[in-house]
Amino acid sequence: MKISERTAGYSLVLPGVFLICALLVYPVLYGVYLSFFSKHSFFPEQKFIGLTNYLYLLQDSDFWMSLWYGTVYSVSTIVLQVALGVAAALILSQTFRGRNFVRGIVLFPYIIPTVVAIILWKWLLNNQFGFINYVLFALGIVGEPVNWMGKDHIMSSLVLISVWEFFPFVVLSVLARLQTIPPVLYEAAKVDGAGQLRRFFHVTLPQLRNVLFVVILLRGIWMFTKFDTVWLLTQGGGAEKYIRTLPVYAYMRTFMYYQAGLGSALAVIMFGVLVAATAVYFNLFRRGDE
Amino acid sequence: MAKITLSKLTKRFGEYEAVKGIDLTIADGEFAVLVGPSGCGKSTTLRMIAGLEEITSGEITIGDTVVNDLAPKHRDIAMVFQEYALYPHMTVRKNLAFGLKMRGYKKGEQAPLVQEAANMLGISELLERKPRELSGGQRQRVALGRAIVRKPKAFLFDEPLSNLDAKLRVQMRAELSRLHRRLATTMIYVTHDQVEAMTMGTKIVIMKDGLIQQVGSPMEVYRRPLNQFVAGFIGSPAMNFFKAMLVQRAEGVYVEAASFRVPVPERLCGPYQCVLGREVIFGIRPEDIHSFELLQQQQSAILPECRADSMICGEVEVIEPLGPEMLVLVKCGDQTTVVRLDPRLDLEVGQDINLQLDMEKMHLFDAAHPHARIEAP
Repeated sequence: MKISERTAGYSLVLPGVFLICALLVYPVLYGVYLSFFSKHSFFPEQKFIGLTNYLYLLQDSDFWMSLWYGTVYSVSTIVLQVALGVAAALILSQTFRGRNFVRGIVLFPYIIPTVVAIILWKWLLNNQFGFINYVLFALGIVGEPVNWMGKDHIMSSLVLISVWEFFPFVVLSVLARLQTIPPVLYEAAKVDGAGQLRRFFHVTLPQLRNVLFVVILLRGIWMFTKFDTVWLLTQGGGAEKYIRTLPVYAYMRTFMYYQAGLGSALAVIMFGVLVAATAVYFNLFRRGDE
Repeated sequence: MAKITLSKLTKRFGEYEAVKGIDLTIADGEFAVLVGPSGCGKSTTLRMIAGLEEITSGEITIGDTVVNDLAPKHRDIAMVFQEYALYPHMTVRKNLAFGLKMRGYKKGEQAPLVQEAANMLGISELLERKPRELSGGQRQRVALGRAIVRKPKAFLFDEPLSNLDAKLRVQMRAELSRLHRRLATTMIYVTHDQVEAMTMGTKIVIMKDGLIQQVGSPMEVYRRPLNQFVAGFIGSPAMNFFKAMLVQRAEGVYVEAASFRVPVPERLCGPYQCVLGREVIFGIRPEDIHSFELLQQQQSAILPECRADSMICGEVEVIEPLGPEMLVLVKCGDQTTVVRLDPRLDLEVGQDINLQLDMEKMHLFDAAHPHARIEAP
């Protein structure tokens, strides 16, 4: 039997299309659909309530707080990750003894499981027996132990842990790009009279522009939707309210208050915020290109 | 405008010595070409002059200043690289202005200088384009423009034409020579291509294994190569070499090789007395070998003394017609000789051919190390 090229092509594409529909299109559309219903998370009953979920959220101060915390969390972690990541990549692109070893070490935080990282940091930051308080105290920087997991500092702690955990991704991407910048560009700049700082701003940074665009975009999306790190840090301590970002709030609504409809509405809003932010970001980048 | 002096200049990379204590003076306004095979140390030398490579020992002077410890930006030189090294994110205008900007020229001062350089190189209409929108030749022009815009004391060129196609290379060669005449600035040019060296340099510096083999004008190094390496490197196709012996016979002095014996002109017998009976390397350029038959037919004025005893015989192995001339590879005994002949000559592969050597233009080199030239006046 002879199969036409067309049929063969379609049949090869079909499994892929099916998977995308089943795992991506359907859940997203179902999520949007659910957000118009009042539905218990486990029982099958559901009732169409139109935009009520959204209207409720607009007046919900917890929602606005979580949007604010989410924004603070993602913006500050991205800025710090990129700054730290680029600096580390610049150092790691130099030649020095034991460079490969140090490169391996730098990737370490990205490789270890989040649960382990959080337990580790909770120990380090513990206000009674934590190593960090001990060091700060011994150095005379603080007069009394800092409650890192308390109301005032928990966001800073979360940002610190997240930056530590995720900056290797920036290092990896930037380092890869740095290695493809032709050394002759630096030599030309040296002869042209550019010092180290100017070589960074006039040669390195413009060459990193494209990779930073992608890195910031990806990290932005991932940080805004980051659940595990935030959730694990909110377990116990009492200050979890002060780092309740949107994904955590959506999870709580869905699986602790069993409000699947409201949870879905939160997810849809999160999606909308990301799409809007991405559109603005693309636009800014393109304008910068001209 | 500056004289450049290198004295006892050495560069070591770990155990490996890339440049071995060379001395060289390049006069103000000279176009010096450093030429040699890969790994001879020519690029390293240039990079040391530019300040891109630290020197291990010795001294570099540009003008009256010892620049050993000066950063490239304080040496007031400009460099053109083989890969062009244009800043990809900047327009041509910004590329040209970059060096000026780094040196603190104000915007208003930059514009006329950029325009002047662009006019000189015919790239005015490319000023708003990015490097990726330019052809190889245009990029090379921009790279040149970036160098000349600053009016430096000296220009350094690191194989700048290697990435261009053959036709463009010839064109750019002429253009660079013109530019040199116009600017009258000291230029140092590195290449592995002896044709570029011959056609552009006012002074040629031939290097091998980190040492300077010979310094001289193009015709000087062509006519009087100081050793076998220079003789083989300068000139295309390369000089033919034969292991030979200088022998005194009743009729005169002869060069005796495995497959032929030819008389040394009387004029040269005196100077070569010292190597009589010793093993030597006999060298003759492809253009100094002629077809015996053709010479006889034309009763040519090239060789007044068309002697049958300075003739060698061989078999035509390969014919490479080049248009105005043809290169013929002739097998003489167990050695192949390259001969540059008149293309009108009717030759076929496999036929026998008689060749007349112009012994007035012979070269002799010591067969022992370091293959130095045996002097003839």
